[in-house]
Amino acid sequence: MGTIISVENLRKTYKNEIAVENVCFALSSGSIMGLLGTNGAGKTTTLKMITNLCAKDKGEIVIDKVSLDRNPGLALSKVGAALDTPSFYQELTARENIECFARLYENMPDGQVMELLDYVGLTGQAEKKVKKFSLGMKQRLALARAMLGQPKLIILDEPANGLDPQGQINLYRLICDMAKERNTTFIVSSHQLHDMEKFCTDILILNKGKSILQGKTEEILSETTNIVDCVLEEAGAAGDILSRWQEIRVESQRGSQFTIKLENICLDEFIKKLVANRLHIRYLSMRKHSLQDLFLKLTEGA
Amino acid sequence: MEPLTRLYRKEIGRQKLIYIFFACFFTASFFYAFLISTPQMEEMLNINMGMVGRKNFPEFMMRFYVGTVGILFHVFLLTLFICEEDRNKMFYQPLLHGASRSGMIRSKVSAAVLMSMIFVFLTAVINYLTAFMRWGCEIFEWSAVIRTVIKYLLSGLYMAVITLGIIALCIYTRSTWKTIFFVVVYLLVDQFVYGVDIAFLQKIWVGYYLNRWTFTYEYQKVPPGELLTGIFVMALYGIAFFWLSLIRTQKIDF
Repeated sequence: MGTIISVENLRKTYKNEIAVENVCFALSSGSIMGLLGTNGAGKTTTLKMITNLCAKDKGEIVIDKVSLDRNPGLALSKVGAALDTPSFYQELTARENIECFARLYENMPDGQVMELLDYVGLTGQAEKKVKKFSLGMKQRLALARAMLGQPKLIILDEPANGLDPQGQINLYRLICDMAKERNTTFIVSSHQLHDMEKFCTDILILNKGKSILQGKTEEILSETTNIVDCVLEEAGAAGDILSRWQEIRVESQRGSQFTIKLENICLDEFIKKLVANRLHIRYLSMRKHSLQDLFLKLTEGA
Repeated sequence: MEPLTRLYRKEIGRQKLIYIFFACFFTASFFYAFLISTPQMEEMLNINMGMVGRKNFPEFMMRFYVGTVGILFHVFLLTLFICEEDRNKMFYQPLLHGASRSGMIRSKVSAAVLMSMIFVFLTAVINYLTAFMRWGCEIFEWSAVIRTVIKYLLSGLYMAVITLGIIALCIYTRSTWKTIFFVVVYLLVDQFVYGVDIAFLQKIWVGYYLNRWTFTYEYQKVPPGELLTGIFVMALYGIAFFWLSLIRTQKIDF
């Protein structure tokens, strides 16, 4: 699969304050990248630089082999975006709103507007004025508008904001379906870490404008250390023994309950070692770091 | 016509404020035509009906529009069209659908300038209509009609330049209230410049020429020499405002 977007050394400053620095990533077609970060981390600025709404100070953005600097018109013709809070002409219907922007494209096929509204599940509301729409409906309408011109890359800035849990899941399913069926690449900024973990193929975490973690979601989560919750008999002696082991770290101890991080040892070996040291296990379970754990650890520590 | 210009024209056409304004303007023109012609009102307002009524009524009402009311109407409309759109994140939407920044601002400007011209035409139609309703065919004295039409054309030019200036202000300030504030300041300074005798300032002040045409040459033909200088200065202002809007739009971080 070809690279749809590559971003190198992106930098933006506002009045000597760094908003984004040295952000680099590349995405192949059909992938969904979750752009994560705390408020003010530089997510929206990054997305606005990619869509040319905001001038970058430094860096290179190439969209489907076209440099944004050299040929912005052609590069941006491959991008659809829904940034900020979804905004529309309030007095117009959903169909009229999409038609307004559809007219800006040459050779827009007849029926494309209704097809898009159908795709985002708004056929029934096509003739309803946008001012009567809920936020969730506006988010879906914004997605339909971003899909105009069949872009290869769609950028969505916090698309799940204001949606109820079911609405969030429906939206992310829609994004996944589009990525699979149409091979569209997505960059989605969000605070919904749990959903991002499930739906995104790639993750980029920004903190204070800098990229602190990026890669394939699976790889990121598999590389993280494992956490073991266990209850051991003779807690005092057990605590002494465990504190001397190099391969693990005791995160917390409350009576006989231990939370242990396995650093250079797998679970099987850890259990064998417990048994070899005659530590009696009453209960043991292992959990992996979630994206949220990882995000909190990285953003708090940075 | 470019699709984006068409989109903006429709957007302006959807503004309810326009219809409310012209309904009010028609009412004002109608009442003015019928009220000021009564002897009691002539005495009370200290006006000479022979001067402001009949063939001169369309010019009298034109001043009412281009002097203050029309400019304030334009500033409200254009701040809705630019600053409020910017605040609602609608301003940059065409940029996400293939439009360039310069193309976007050219479309905005052409739609707004055409709007300002149409509004001057509409005021002419309204004023001639109410004058006809009040005085009948008396208003159609050939030389007065020619003179008034020329003054409406000059007002159209002036309003186009003012429109370009308000657009530039909207783009620079990106704030409704700041734009309204600067326009009110302009209107005050405009009166000051016309009132004081500082020749250099008057020569370079865009509003001075309209004041000359409408007040100094009230109900009279404007000498061609003065016309050309005024048109030239206005054109320079128009080009400068457009150029400033274009330059600033290229640099906006949305």
